[in-house]
Amino acid sequence: MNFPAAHLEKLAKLVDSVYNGAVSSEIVQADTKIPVLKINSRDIRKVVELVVHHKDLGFTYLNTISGTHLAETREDESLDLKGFEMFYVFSNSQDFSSLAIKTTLPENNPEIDTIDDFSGSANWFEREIFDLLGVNFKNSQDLRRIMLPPDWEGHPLRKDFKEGSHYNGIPTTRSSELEAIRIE
Amino acid sequence: MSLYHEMPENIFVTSVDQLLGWSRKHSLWWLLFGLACCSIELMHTGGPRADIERFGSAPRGTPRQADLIIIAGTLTYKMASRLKLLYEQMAEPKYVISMGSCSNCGGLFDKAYSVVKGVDQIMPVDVYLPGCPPRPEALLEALVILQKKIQKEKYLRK
Repeated sequence: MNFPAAHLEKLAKLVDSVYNGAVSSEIVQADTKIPVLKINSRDIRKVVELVVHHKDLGFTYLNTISGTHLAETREDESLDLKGFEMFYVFSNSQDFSSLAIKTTLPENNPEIDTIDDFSGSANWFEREIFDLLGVNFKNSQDLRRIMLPPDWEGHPLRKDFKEGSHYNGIPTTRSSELEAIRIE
Repeated sequence: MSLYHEMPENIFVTSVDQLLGWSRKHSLWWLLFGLACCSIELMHTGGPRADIERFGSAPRGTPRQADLIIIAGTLTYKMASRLKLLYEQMAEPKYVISMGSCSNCGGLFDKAYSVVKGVDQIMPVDVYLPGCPPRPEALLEALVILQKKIQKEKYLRK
């Protein structure tokens, strides 16, 4: 279901009014099925608290957190950034509408406040992004690698990731191609 | 009258090597071990249509009882140390079938950061079975090829 239009118009103003202009936000994609609210990364906890707990919004269900490493400047001005782009997608369990919160992080030392006290599932999403992209979630309850082994070096979904020649003594490339041998 | 005709029924003459090979190749117990989509075909091979047990190959739940391990699927670096441990827990003589492109050489995940580029990087392999994934019939053929190899082995001789 689409986001209620009345809420959509009010949302950016609502963020403004609740925090008296201290939090800047804008709806960057209003015509899509999931509208996108763009905010500054330092305000993430304030905005998430609003969309989760405000009586007019009530986006209590966290669908996903996703991260992307943007290696170079794009034509599209919404992607005009070298750094990390984060999406937080929330759903409302009453009318099943969704809202995405978008924020950007700098290329060097990307870090953002954790939201794992608003939603329990946030921890695993944050661990995944920490694991693959190396984004540091400040004040997280449990920030460890979730998929790769604990002794892994680097963050493989970064554009500048370089694979080593060996991992724990196992070569990371094949020295020779397989030959087709048939035993008769 | 030859010796053969003088003997009573149900007595056969063979060599020890021949008999050992025959009994070993028809009791190739394999370790229940699946990594990815190839393990679905591995399950089909155990099912009634292909029925791997008619070759004497029974699935076992522990590496201590297994003679054969079928590497069915994509092997990641994280899993590699666990697989090596399973392989080392198996009693000698032990055999390995590398099933599918992923375990042969990395296959589809040739450029992936997390996938071992062939299971032969960490353990010896007896039969490489191509396919993505191979059909149950192909796995049976790999088993038969392995059986032929075992039959030729002179197990008691050093």
